[in-house]
Amino acid sequence: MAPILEFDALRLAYRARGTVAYAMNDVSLVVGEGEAVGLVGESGSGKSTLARATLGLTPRRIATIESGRILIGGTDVTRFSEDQWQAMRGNPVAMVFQDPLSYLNPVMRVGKQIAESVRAHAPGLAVATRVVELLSLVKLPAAAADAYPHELSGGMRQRALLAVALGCEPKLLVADEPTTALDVTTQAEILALIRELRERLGMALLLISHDLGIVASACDRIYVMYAGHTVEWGATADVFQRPAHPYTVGLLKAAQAARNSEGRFATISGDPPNLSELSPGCPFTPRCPQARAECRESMPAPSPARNAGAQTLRCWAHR
Amino acid sequence: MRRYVLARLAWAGPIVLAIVIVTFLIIHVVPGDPIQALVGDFPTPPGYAEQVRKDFGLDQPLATQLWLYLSNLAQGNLGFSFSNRQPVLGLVLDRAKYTLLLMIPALTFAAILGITMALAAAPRAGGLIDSGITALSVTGFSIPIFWLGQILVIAFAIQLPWLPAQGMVSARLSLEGWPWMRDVLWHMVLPVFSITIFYVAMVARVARASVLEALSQDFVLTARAKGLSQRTVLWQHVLPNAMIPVVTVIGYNFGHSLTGAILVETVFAWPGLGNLFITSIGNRDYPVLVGIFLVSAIAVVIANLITDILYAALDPRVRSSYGKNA
Amino acid sequence: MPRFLQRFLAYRAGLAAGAYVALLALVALVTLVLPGVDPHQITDHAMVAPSAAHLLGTDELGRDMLTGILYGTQVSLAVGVSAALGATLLGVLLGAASGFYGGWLDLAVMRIAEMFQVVPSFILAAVIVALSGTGLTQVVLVIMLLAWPQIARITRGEVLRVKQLEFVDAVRCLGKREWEILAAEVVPNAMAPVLAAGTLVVAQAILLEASLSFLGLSSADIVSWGRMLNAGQRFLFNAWWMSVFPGLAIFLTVLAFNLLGDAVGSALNPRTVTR
Repeated sequence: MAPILEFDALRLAYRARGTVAYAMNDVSLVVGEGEAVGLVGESGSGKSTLARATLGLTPRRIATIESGRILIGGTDVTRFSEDQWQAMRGNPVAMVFQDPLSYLNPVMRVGKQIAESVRAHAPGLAVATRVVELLSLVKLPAAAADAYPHELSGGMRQRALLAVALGCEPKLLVADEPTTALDVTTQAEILALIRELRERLGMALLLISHDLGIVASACDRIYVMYAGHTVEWGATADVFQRPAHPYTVGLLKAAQAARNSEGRFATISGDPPNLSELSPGCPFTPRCPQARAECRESMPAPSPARNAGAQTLRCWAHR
Repeated sequence: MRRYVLARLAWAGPIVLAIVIVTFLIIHVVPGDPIQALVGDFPTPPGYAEQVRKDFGLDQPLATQLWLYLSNLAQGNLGFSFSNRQPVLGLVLDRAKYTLLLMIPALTFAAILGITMALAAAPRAGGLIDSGITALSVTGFSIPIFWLGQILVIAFAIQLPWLPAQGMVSARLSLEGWPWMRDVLWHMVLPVFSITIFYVAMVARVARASVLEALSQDFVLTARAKGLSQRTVLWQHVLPNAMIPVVTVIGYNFGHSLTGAILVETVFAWPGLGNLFITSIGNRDYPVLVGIFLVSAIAVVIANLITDILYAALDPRVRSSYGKNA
Repeated sequence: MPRFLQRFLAYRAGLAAGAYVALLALVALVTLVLPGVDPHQITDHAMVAPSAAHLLGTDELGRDMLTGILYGTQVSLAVGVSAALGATLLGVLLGAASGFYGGWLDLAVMRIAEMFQVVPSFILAAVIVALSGTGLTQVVLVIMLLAWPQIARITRGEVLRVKQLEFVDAVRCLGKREWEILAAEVVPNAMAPVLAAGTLVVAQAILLEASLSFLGLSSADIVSWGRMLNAGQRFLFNAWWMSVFPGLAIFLTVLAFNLLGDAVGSALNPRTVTR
C-alpha cells in the first residue's frame, strides 16, 4: 500500500524582489497510513513551509518547487494546479495551525466554520447533527457551535480548529505547532486529545514542532530537519535515546539543559546558515563539532547510524 | 447589543445639541440683523417680522433667545418660507425625498462597484485593475462633482442626445403609473451616474485596502485548507471581513455624499434639496438655507448612528465589547 | 533634508504636480503685474467657439475664456493657500496645546473638532457665506473654520507621540519653561504629517471656493473658475467650452495639490517605501 504522504528530495525556493530563500533544500519524508510521524527543527528550518506544501498552500507567486516530488496516496501532486489541489485539501489531508484565534474567521460562528468542512467533504450527512458530533469528538459542548471565536478560550479554539479539520474526514492530519500558543496545561490536554482522536479515527498524523517533548510523546517515528534538509529519522525511541547526527545531539542537549534550567542554556554554538545560497555540502558544517573536509564538498546519501539506534541519517561521520 | 445602541445614542444627543447651538450662533453671530436670517429678504406681509421678533425673543437676553430657539425647534418650527408659501420644515423634508432618490441608488451602485473592483483587483496587486483603482480614487477626490455632471450632460444629452439633461419628469408629457416611473428612472440616469462615479472612487480605495488586508489573514488559509473553492473563500470569508471598513466609510461620509448630491442637483435641475438650496440663495430665503443645514446635519448624525449599529451587526467582536447577552 | 528631497524626487507624480503648481504660481504673478489686459473686457464676439483668435472661445459677453482662466488662477491660489495657511496655523495651535496640556482643554478642543467633522461642512460654509456676504475674506475665513479640525487632530496625535520621547525630558531638565518646550522642541518635531495634510487642505479649499462660486456665492466682480462654471451652466446647451475649460482648470489644480500632498506625505514618512 502506498504511503499517505511522501516527500522525495524536495527543493522549494521563495523568490521575491531579487532575493532567494531555499526554505526546503533536500527534504525526504514518508508518512504511512495511520502512522504518527513527528518533524522537529528550529524555527527557520523549513518545517512550516513543509506543512504548507503538503496542502499546496505555499504562496504561488513566490514559491517554486525546483526539484523532487510530493506524493499524496501515491498520486504525484508536485505540479498540481490550484484547482487540482483543491480536491486534495481537507480530504485526504487536513491541517491544524498554530494560533487558533487568527486561524478562525472572526465574524463567522464556529459551528458554521465546521459545517463548511462537512458540506465540502461529506455531503451525504445531516450537517447539523454532524457538527454536534464533531464538537463532542473534540470535547466541546454543543453550545460552542453558536459562539464566535473570540468568545472561546485558547484551548477551546484549538479544539474548534481540530473539529474543522476532522469535519473533512482526513486520512492524514498535519498539525503545525498546534500547542505553541497555549499554556502548559492546555497543551497537555490538546496533545492527549490528538492522540486519542488518532487512535479512534485511525488517521495518520504529521506533527510539526520545535518542542522535542511534544513530538516524542505523540509520535511513532520522527524526522529531524535542519536548514531545509531532513538530516536524521527513525523510531522515536532510537532518535531520542541514542541520537546520532551531531545536530540532533546538540538539540537534545540544549533541550535537556533548558528542562533542568541550569544556570546557562546550553545552545548549539553558531548561527543557522543563510538560506539564500545553495552549497553542495552539509549545512551544519560551520557549527558541527565533528566537521571534516568532505562535509564541505557534498551531502552524503542516507545511511544507518553507527554505534547508535536503528535510525537513518545523512552525515559523513557515520559513513 | 442594546447596551451598545444606548451608548451610541448617548453620543448622538450632545452632538445634536451642539449642532443646534452652532445654528443659533450662525443666526446671531454672523454679521447682520438676526431677523434677516430668520425671515429672509423676500417680501413678507407687514407685521410678520415683528411677529418673528417676538416669537424668538430677539429683544430678550441671549440665553432666553437660545431657550426660545430650542423650544421653537422642538415644536418643529424652523420658520416660514415666503418664497415657497410653506413652513420650512415641511418644505425641506419634502424635497429631501427627491435627494434621497438620487443618493440611495448612487451609494448602492458605488458600494457594489467599488467592492467588485477591489475583489477583481485583489489577486494581482499592481495589476491593471489595481492601478485603475488608485488612479480613479485620486481623480474622484479632485474632480468638481458639478463639473463632472456638466461634462456628462454635454456628452450624453447634447452631443449624443440619448438621455434627458434636466428635471425629474418630461415637462411636455403628462404620464401616470408605470410610464411615469419609467420617465423618472430615465431622468435619474445621468445624475445618479455622476454621484456614483464620485463615490466609487472613495469606496474602491477603502475596499481595495480592506480586501488585501482580509486576504492576508490566517483564517483564509484555514478556509483554503478545508478544500473550499476560491470563490467560496472570497465570498464567505474574505468579503464579510472586508465589508466592515467599507460600510463604515460609506456611512461616515453621508454628509460628504449629501453635499455631492446637492451640487449635482443644481446641474440637472433635480427638484431636491440642492435645487431648493440654490433657489433660496437667489431669493435670499435664509430660513430655508438654515433649515437645510439643520436637517442635513441631523441626518448625518442619524446616518452615523445607523453605521455604528451596522458595524456592530457585521462584527461580533464589537458587540461583545459591550457585554455579553446585551 | 537631502534625503527628503531624494525621496520626493523618486515620486514622479508628485514631481509633475509640483512643477504644475509652480507654473500656476507664475501665471498668477504674471497676470497680477501685467498691464493692459482686462479679463472683464466685453467684445461683440459673444459665445464664439474655440478658434485661432480665441483659443478657448468666448463667453456670453464676448470675454475671452483663456484670459479669464489665466486670471482665475489668482483667486484659486490666493484662497487655497491663505485658507490652508490659516487653517494650519489655527489647527497646529489648538492641536498642540490640546495634546501637550491635556485635561479639559483637550476635551473641549477635541469635542468641537469632532462636531465640525460630523456636520456637512459644505452646506455650513454656503449658509454662512450666504448670510455674511460673498467677499473673499468671508470665504477664506469660512474655509479656515471648517478645515482646522483635521489639522488639529493630526497635530495632537503627533504631539502626544513626541512629548514622551526622551529628549523632551532632557530639555526639561535644562530648566526650560513648558510653553518654550512645546514651541521650540515638540511642535517642530511633530510637523512632518501636518505639512502633508496642509497641502491637502489647499486642494480642499480650492474645491470649496469653486463650489461656492458655482452656486453663485461669490462676487460677480472677481474672475474665478467657479464663477465661470456658473455661467457655463446657463449656456450648457449653447457653449460647451464655457463649462469644459474652467472645470478642467479646477480639476487639474486640485489634482496637483492632492498629488503634491501625497508625495510630501510619503517623502516625509520614513515608513513608506518610495515607488
